[in-house]
Amino acid sequence: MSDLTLDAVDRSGAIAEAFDELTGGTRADFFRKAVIGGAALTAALETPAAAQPRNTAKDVAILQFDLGLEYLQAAMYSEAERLGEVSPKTLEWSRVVGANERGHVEAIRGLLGRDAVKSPSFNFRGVTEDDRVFTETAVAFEDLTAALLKTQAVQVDSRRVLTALASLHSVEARHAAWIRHIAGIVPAADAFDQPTSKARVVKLVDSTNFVTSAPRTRGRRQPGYTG
Amino acid sequence: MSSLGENSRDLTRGQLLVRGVVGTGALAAGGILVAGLPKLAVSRPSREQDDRVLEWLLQVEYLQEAFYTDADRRGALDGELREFASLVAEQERAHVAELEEALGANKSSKRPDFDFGDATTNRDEFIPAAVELEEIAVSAFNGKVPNLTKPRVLTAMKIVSVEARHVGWARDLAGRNPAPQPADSPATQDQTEAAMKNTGFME
Repeated sequence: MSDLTLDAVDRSGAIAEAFDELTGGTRADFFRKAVIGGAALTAALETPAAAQPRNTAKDVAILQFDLGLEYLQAAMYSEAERLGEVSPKTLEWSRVVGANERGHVEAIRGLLGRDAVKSPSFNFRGVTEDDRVFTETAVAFEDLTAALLKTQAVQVDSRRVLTALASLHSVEARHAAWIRHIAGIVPAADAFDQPTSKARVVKLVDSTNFVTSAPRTRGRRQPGYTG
Repeated sequence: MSSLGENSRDLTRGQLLVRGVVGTGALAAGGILVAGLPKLAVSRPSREQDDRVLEWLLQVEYLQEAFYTDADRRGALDGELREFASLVAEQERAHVAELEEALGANKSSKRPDFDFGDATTNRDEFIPAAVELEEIAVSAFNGKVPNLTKPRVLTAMKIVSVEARHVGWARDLAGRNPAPQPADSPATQDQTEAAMKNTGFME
């Protein structure tokens, strides 16, 4: 079922088409780095945070991945709001949802404490100025984030983290329904929302080429791309 | 962001809309997540507890199922509202069936009687009632998820996600902010029960 979410959204192939236009390589490897190397990296570099319950290594990896995804969403929607080029309804969505995603960033950073990674750099390559492409990309991100959080809810060790993810999860589903409604797609297409894998989300993020640098690796930033 | 109890009562009254959400988003999320947790009666998951929780969530679903099925059957709504009621009715029936199947022979609760008055025929009553019922469901599920065993966590998440879509859709139809908070507060069983009674639909 893991492929259904995006396929259901992308009935016209519009997202795939947009992504084809936008995709040029696979520089967007922040997420894999964040998961594989993030904990060790930040543990070494960050100063110790205030005392809080220790997260297991698995929970840290899950939260770091989510943090990367929330950074991306927060940055994308905030940019759309700032540029003001999308339709009034989509602009209102960007304003509210951008603020919510910034709230998610803070919440997950709080859960991670000193294991929180910094935001990578993004280039949204015109998507935040194009109403149609922005809306469809937002549908894909919101549907997939809600689907991913279901998978993670089963995986996490800590019920403290589970409680937190559940309370973010339903907000992502609200966002998804709202942007679908704006896009003229059925907001609740099925009686049950299926989970999806991290790999599926990584694939989506890679395909957008939105991530231009991993956090803390400024020296490796791609020089002079023509976005 | 004082306590979970206050948040949840506000939530079930549908008053979250009036809050200045955008500026306080980050703080609200942290506040709910950190302050909210200890208030929940989180106890060690077990098969027996799963059944108790699913019985309870089934009560929440019965209310929704009956509400939308009544609206759909009476057929007084029009336009997108009619479409909404019809589709959501079908989905709530599927949720009831899923929970009943999960409980199997252990199911002990009955389907209660409801009286919806004009709320299933008059659009001005229907929309706010739909928003209220969906908010109740989302907060009820979110409050119970941490008490479930892993397989049932997934059962609940697959349902609550759709309830959250319903509330987003209903709020947009009502001209209200579909996602007024960065985090959805979990509700305790007592809070959910009070909110359900407060609808006036329970016989």
